[in-house]
Amino acid sequence: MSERGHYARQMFAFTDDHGWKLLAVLAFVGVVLPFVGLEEGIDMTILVELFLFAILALSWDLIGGQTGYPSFGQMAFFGVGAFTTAILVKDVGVAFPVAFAVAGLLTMLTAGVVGAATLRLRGGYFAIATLGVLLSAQQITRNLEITGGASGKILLDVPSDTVFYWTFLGLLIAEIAVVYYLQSTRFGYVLNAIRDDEGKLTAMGVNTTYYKTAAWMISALFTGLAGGSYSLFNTFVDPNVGYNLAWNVEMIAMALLGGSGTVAGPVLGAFGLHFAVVKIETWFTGWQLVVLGAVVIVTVIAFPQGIVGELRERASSMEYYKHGGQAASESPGGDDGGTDTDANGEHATDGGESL
Amino acid sequence: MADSNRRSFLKLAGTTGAIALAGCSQQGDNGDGGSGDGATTASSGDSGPQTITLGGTMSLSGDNADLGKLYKQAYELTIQRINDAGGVEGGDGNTYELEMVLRDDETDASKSKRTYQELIDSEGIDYLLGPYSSTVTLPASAVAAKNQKPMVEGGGASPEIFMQDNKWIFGLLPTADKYALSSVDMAKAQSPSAETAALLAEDDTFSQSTAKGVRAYMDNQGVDLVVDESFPSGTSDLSTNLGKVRDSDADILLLAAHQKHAIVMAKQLESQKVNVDMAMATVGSLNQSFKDETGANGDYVYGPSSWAINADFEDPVYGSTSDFASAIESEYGNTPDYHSAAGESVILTYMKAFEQVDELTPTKVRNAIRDIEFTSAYGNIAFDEKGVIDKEMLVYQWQPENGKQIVWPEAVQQSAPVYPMPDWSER
Repeated sequence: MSERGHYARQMFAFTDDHGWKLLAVLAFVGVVLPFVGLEEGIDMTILVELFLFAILALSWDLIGGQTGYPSFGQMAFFGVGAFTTAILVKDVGVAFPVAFAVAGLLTMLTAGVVGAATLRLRGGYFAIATLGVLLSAQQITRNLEITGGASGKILLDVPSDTVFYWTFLGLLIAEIAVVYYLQSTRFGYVLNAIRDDEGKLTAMGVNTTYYKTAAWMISALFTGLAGGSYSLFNTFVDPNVGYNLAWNVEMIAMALLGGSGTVAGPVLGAFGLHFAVVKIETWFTGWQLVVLGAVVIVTVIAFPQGIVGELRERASSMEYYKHGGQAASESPGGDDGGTDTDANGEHATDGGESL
Repeated sequence: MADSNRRSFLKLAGTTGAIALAGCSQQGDNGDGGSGDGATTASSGDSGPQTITLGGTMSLSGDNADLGKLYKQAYELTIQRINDAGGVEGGDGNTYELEMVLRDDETDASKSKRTYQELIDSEGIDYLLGPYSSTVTLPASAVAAKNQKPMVEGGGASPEIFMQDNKWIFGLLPTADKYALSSVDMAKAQSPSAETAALLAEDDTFSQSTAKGVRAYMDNQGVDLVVDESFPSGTSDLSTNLGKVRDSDADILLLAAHQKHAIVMAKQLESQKVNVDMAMATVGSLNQSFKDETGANGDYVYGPSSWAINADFEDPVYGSTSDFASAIESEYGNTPDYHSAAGESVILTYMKAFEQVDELTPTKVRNAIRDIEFTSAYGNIAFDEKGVIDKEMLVYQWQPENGKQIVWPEAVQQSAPVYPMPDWSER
């Protein structure tokens, strides 16, 4: 039994100690790739999509996983960003970087307004309200002339795919850095505490609305910036692409499969699931949705807390055995920090930064 | 429990690793093959015929799968017939067999870019088959242009596709703005002549183009538009909009949408007791699957088609239009419609172009397609400077006794239209 979780523990000990270095190495690898043979084509397209989904999953997780507010409307921000750059670049003639910045600002503003109304709700009510926001945004976009109505916008005069590779890579690295940093700050602790017991936190005098809204706006900012880049990358955006309802669910599945409430989980979940999607579409043409459903079901059964969550639980169990083992948990007044690991293993290392 | 968890984790990790490795190695293999010059045409060396692989995506699952199936059937059968007859006699003196790689895009425009890029880079495809629906075709055609590969398509009809100065795309359907015009002509020529119309349009690129075209045309023809509504693609309920049509007492109803909504319209016209002189749906109302789904409610419904199944065009592979129709029917058990015929001609366009070029390169094949002129089961094939075929729509109607009949224009009419459609109280 003492071997249990040994490797997982070692891995987490390493990532916890060297998180920033690890991120720097991964960023370096990403930056170097185009200089050592990665050309525009299918490999770059798939990488861009992997980065994109990782951004979306991590954005969702900041509000859905870290803060415990399960948003079903994240794609509304993606759409706002997507149409903002599409309109500014195509119709106004603004350069992409400027349009990109405006898209980010506008999505944050939108999130502030939407958050003021929806973040008062909790649980299922919040989920339904945010879904409503997404569906309304899609419908409003369909009816507006400026967004191209239902026909959308064709965007052929756009930067090269390499520009978008840099953009999505930069966005992902920046977002990982922000979320990773926040985890070790008071801000991050408050978000986790909101998830675990918001009532208690309010009773302690913490202004949870401020924290929730800030987390929601950061989450929306990255989602909006991703959308702002994606519409031009895809050369076409219409209300179905901009407010893609399938992606709205996929990003949540990615975060949950990878390990909600962690930094590495949503990123790995996005990489893993999207890579599986790409391969399954090639191998099981026409049956991809069935096979993909089976893969998701198997993963959820095998890793009920997500892959990173499950591994962290193993690591925590190892820690737990080292500090007294089973006897402690069997004593009536046992250390509740130890017993907590079963239910919330991924939070057992509270106090330390964790990937 | 813990051990079994660990075992299942190891098993899963092993399987995932194996799949990933297989994926990488497959990609590597294909990538190597694709990186050669003209990989599509390179093939099995000295012995046996060389092959040309055509590739594209199609709506093989999702709302448009019934229509996607028609293209797939036509592609497969035509390629099989060409190969059985000895292959394509290339203009370069070689004989080629045709192969095809067809992926499923689920009619999702966000899958288009990656899938076409994958076909070009990993599968080494040089000659692209277009997808179904305008929204998927738009990003796909951009990939074709960027990679300088010709794309011939029979499934995207929005005029926007051909307004982008894209020299690599060729469309075999009349553009969407023309889809509903002949139906208006027909209704105007009947007695009593149509004076008011209701237009219900789905919220998508194609249907909005159709609506725009027919709106302008009706204005020109003096038909008064008394209901003009759009509805979301995802809806399965048109009852509110059909209620407005009933209340407006419009003479004719034009539904600019796809098959799912054509079926909903036929069913809800009955349940809402909406009586109009003509009810037509732009897409999907002429398939056998539409009639199977709607039963007697589908009777008298009209639909446009770019293809007359009773026409007598010579076809280089099947012999004639009727031979093509019977070949599809005997092979797959369903009647072909214009999607099938357009799909067949996508393959034939490539075949004819391969026969005309002295060297098989994407640019030369593209140039040959620009100047191509031939007849097929679909009709006369030639493209204008934008890359679109010049065709007008015919109008069909489901008639209880005769089945699906061409009713307009009169020159090719199989039966006179049953106009006005009988009221629901008389059926």
